[in-house]
Amino acid sequence: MRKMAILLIAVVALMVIGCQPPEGMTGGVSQEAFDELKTQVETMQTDLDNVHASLDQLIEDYNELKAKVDKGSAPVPKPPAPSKPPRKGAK
Amino acid sequence: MKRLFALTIVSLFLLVLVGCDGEVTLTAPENVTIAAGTNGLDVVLDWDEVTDEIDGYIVYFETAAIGTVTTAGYTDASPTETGDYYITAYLGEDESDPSTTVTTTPVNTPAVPIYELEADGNAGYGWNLAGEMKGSTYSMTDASNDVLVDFYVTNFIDDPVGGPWPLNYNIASPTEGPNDPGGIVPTGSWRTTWFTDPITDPQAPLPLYSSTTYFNFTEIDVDPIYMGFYLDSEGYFGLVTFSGANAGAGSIQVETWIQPVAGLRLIAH
Repeated sequence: MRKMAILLIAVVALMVIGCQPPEGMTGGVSQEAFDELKTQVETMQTDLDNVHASLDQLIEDYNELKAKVDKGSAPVPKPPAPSKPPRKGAK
Repeated sequence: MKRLFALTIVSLFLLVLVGCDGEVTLTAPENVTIAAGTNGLDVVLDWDEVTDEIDGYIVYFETAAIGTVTTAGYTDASPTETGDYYITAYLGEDESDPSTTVTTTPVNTPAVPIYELEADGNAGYGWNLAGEMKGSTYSMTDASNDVLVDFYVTNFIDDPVGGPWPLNYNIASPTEGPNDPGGIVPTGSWRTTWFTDPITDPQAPLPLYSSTTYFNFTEIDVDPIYMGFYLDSEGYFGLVTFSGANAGAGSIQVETWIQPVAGLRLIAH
């Protein structure tokens, strides 16, 4: 029984040791690659934020322009069309 | 022989004296003028007094004596006809040569085509008041014609380019031109003319000038049509007739008579 317990501990110990990543590795990826990937992700996040900002600005400009166009094309009261003058008597 | 010669000379002298008996040369009246009475119907004649010994003057109308006066001046009250007047001086049975002739005969300008304002032709019409008083057509797009045009023809519509130029047309004072819907008359010192309503009897005197009888334009709504006019600046009356309006060509025929005596409403012709 005692042997069984030692064997079990040994197996567990081996499993723990065997599951440890190699030195300098995190989850199967090197630290450098991980840092680089992290930097790229951060850059992409920044780019995405910039794209969002640009899109917001574009939408704002579009709405502003549309408002101007709508105002400009709004029906303007026309001057009365020239017509037959009133008939008036001699002075 | 000597005695016979002297007798002959005396006889000839006596013959000359006898032959000249009764012949008096009278001076014809000069500087005859003609004007309208204040009612626009009377014809007022005047002339310089003849300095010869005379009994008076005889006034003629179209070769018929219509009156005698002892001093210069005569008024033909409300004549119904127009024509020529002249004067003679007389003494007893003797009569001078006739004076120069003055006339109330309206000056006629035969029918000519005139065009609606935007059609392809002259829309303006005016009389040569400083000359023979004949009428001519003029362009309404030239501002320099503003002193020449006495009326123009318009339908008061902004017509499409190339026509047609719909009826009815109107005869209008040039002063209406710059505001005409046609929009082609430049601003300028355009003349003022007034027009009567259509006239049924073109031989009758024109209406008395007033704000209820003369207007800035009159519609040409029958064919033919007559209407009187009054030139605001000079006071001449006259008659216009239109006929043969053609909307396709934008034209109409116009014939005119203008009374050469300012202020006289008699246009019988």
